Parts: sequence; structure tokens; C-alpha cells
Amino acid sequence: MSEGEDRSLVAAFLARRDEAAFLALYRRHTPFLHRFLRTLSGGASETEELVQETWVRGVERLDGFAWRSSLKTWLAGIALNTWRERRRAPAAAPLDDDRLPAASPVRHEIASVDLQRALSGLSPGYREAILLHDVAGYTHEEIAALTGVDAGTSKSQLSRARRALRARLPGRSA
Amino acid sequence: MNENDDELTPEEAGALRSLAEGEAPPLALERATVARLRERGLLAPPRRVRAAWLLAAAAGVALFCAGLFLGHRRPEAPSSAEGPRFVLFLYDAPSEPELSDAQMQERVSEYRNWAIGLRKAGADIRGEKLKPEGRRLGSASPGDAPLGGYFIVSAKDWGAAMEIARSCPHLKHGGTIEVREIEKT
Repeated sequence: MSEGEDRSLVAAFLARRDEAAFLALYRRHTPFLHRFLRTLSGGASETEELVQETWVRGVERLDGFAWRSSLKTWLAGIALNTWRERRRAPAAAPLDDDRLPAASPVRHEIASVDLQRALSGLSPGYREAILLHDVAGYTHEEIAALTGVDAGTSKSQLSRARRALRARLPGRSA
Repeated sequence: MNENDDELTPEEAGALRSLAEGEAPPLALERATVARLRERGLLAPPRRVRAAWLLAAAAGVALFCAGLFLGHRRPEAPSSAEGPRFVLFLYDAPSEPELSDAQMQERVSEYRNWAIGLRKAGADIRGEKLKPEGRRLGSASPGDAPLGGYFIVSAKDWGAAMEIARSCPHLKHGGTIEVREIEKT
């Protein structure tokens, strides 16, 4: 996914703001945003609301996007903030086992369902640290840009989060 | 996890990465997102195309094609000049929703299949598209709903004509159908 293609699509969208131009961007980035938010939030319907809100905010701000990061990272930052705001909202429902995302085929000794259950039991900050770094694959520098914390803080937060996660996995301890 | 430090083992790293391999976003989400952007005025208004206009055109084309096909198979199909003929005027829903390209295609297929089904059953049905501009004589007003298209259908009597009209998908989409018998001259 090249930045050049993203720049062309964004320019085309800003010039016309029509549905076809938007859908070109949407179809390129939504699979990632959907997985990212699904893993963060857990629930299918909440994930869809978050994806929609992410695009609303993204489109609102797109003409001010300065390309200091990739479009994907910029959208992920919006998605993350949208999820954080939703999490702080009083109506936000807590994660529970029924709202865990569909498990991927088990290909590892650590069962996905155990991992998801353990993740859902972490504090939101720890869950976010693991999802950004270990699931979505962002570097600490990228996480710093996304979240506004410095890279050192991101590293130490990740260490604590991994220990907390390990403590929640069956048969493992910190 | 590695008990000695906070680095992930390959097994752990693989398990965590596998969480990023979720299912594809549902198709309905795409439509919902576009609708939400439109509500907020973030997308330009769509090209406004009268749905029934397109539908009538599609049905007309489909009937032409069906006629070619059935003409070889059913030379005994009733002639439109034999029995009573009726016109089904299709008025759009008062607040015709904006349809995406995919929804439009789906709607066109639905009307086309309806018309083809009637044709295969032996009905002589034809449809035409109407241009949006119209001229009206006299003071009678059919209301605010725009006339989107029409079908001409042969039926043995009013009951049969109304039965055909009731089966038209236009009604379930909020449209109105006015049935008028064509006077023989």
C-alpha cells in the first residue's frame, strides 16, 4: 500500500467529494481499521459504529492532513481516540466473553480465545499497548506519534502490559 | 510469554499477530458509512436519478430481450390487441431514498425479474421509461409524487390487472401504482 496511491486517492476525493472517490479510500483502509477496532472493542456492532465514526472524523479533517505519517497510521490514531472516547462514555458497556471477536483459526499453542479473554480482562491502557505494538505492529515511535506519549513511556507500558497479560493466560504466570 | 524478561516468544508473538487476521468488514458497513457521511454533509450529493425511471427502462430492455427469446418459444403468446389492456402508472415514493449504485442494481434486477416472470407466464407486458419533464393539462393533480414510468399489460379483466399490479415490487418500495384500462378505439 504505497503512500503515492493514498495521496492520489485523497486528492481525488478532496476535489470531488463524491461517493466513488470516498469508496476507493474506504475499501483500501477499512479492512485494517475494522480488525483494529474489533480487537480493541470486542463487539461487532460497537466496532461498526467506531469504524463509521472514524471515517466521519477522518473525512472532516482530511483536507488538513499534512502527511507527517502514513494515512493508515493517521486513521488508526483517529480510530484509537474514537475508541478511547467511547470507552470513557458512561454508556460504554464493559467487555465480556459474549462480545469477544470471532476467533481466528487456532494455529498457535496459545488459543486465540484464551488470548482474547486475557486481553479483555486487562485495563484499557494495557490492552491498548499490546494491541498497538504486538497486534497491529506499530513501533514505539509510531505509538508515540499516535498516542502523544513518548517512546520510552510506550516501552515501559508495554512491558507492564505483557506481564499482566501473561498472568491472565491459563497455565502461565508473570 | 518469556518468564525471564518482557520479550515475546515466537509462539506468543504469532498468537498475538493472529488476532489481527479478523473477518472482512461487512458490506452493509460500507453503505452505512456512506449514509452517515451524507447525513453530515461530508459527501457531495449523489447524482439524482429517479429510481423508477431507471427501473422502467430496465424492465423495457429486459422485456425486449425476453420477447426475443420467448418469440421463438411461444408464438402463441397472446397479442396485446386481443383482450383488455391496462396501464400501470408507477409513481415514486414521496421521499424516494437515495440509492447507492449497488442498491440501484439490485432494484433494477428485482423489477426486471418481476416483468420477465409475467412475460414467461404468458402475459403481454411492456414497459417504457419516461422523461422527467411533463406537461399537464387541466386542473386535476395526481399529487406530489413524480410519475416514474409505466407498464402496459394485457389482462382478462380488472381483477387480473389488479392482481398483476399488486405483485409489482414498486409497492413495497413505497411507490404508488395507478391502474387505468386503455379504451379501445
